[in-house]
Amino acid sequence: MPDESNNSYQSKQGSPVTEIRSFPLDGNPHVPSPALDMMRTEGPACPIKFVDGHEGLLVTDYDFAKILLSSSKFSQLPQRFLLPMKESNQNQIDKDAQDAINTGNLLSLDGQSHSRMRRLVTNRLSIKSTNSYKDFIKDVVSDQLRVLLSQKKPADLSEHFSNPISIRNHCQLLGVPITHVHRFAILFDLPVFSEVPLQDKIDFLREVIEIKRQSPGNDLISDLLALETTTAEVVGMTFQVAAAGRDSVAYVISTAVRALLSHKDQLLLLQNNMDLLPHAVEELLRYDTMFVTLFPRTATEELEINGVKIHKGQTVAVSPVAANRDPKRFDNPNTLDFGNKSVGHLAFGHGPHACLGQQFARLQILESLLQLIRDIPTLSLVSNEFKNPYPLASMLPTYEIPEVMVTW
Amino acid sequence: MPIFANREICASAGQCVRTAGEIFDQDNEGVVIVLNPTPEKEFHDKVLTAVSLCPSGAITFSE
Repeated sequence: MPDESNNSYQSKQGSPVTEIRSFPLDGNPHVPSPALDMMRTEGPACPIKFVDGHEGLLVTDYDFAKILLSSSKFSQLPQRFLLPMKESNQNQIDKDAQDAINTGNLLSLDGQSHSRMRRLVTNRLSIKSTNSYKDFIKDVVSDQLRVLLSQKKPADLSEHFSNPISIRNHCQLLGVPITHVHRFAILFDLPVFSEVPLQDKIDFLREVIEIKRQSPGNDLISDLLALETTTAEVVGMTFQVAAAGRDSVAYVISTAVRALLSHKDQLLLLQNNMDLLPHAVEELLRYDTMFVTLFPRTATEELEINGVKIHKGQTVAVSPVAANRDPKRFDNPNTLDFGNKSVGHLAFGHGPHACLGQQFARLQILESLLQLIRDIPTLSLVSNEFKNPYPLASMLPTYEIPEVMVTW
Repeated sequence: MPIFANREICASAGQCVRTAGEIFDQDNEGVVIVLNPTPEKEFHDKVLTAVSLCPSGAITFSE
């Protein structure tokens, strides 16, 4: 019988079931909503309501998350969201542009159609290829360090360091000529869902693609043009890589620096032993996980995972933030600890859609932290408060890149 | 048991190469290549880590 006083009722099986929730919004980049930990104690996958009224599940358990993201019994469609989409009248685009976006939208594709498109860019994003950018990344980071240090104190690390580093490296990878980096920065400014018309973004990429067609270079757009690709595929995959990596690297650099500067004991550990840095980066990725949930998956058949029944057509959202704080997998999960075994975190997702830019991201984060720690040992945070409620960058949700006011 | 990598499901994330670059490589589509399917015991830990970090489950290995 329904029990009004604590919002729970007995299911037919006799075990308590809580009233279906909406997505909790009281988290911030370093401190997730306590509701996620609470949900995990109730079960690996809890009922949650999507914006369209659909009653799906939210996964907060590490093992369950990995199984779900690896399962072939889920589709990327329909794309449902846990939070309302920002209304925008800036998204009218021409038909070819729409075709291109649909073609390259990896997160809307399944199976062979997905892997075929993904493999158009996996060479450029392979370990060997991303390693070839090490010197370029090093120079960009040291240049932005100089820019940061030339600012009046206190200065925003996100504005003068993290975001420009990410833009410059991203442009180099894509093949955006130096002459066009400034326009890229404006058109693809943060937050990702800004008021910049989508048509302008596509037209800019078309212009760059044409430049590359005339004089190919060592970059992703030239790769796409050299393969047997259609125009929709070239424009679509260029847009996909441009959009997907746009805010993520900047976000991780900023939150990693913020976490380091507010955990002086961990910073000291690093300063005394820089060999720890690659491992520290993994722990920072775990602690600062950007995706509160991923694009959800919808079951294509009736199935059961670890005792949880999932109906055909039911949509399941995985929370990497929650999975990365699962105490069954990570000791003292809510503590930043470079001694922690953070290897195996889900900050880059899991399964066939696992982040394909992750190695390029890692190199940038590593080099940024290395130079900051080595060259500005007196760097410190001016303020350690997060806005409350914390602003969202997307409806998944992901968080907006924080301002990181620093002095030295 | 030799290392087996399922090239069909490989997602080209590169974690295997990053973890055990002596044992794994990527071809020109970023797809996994097993350089040495029967590595010495000293590499087994690294290979097991690579197996656990592979996002697609493409790599299998048991000692």
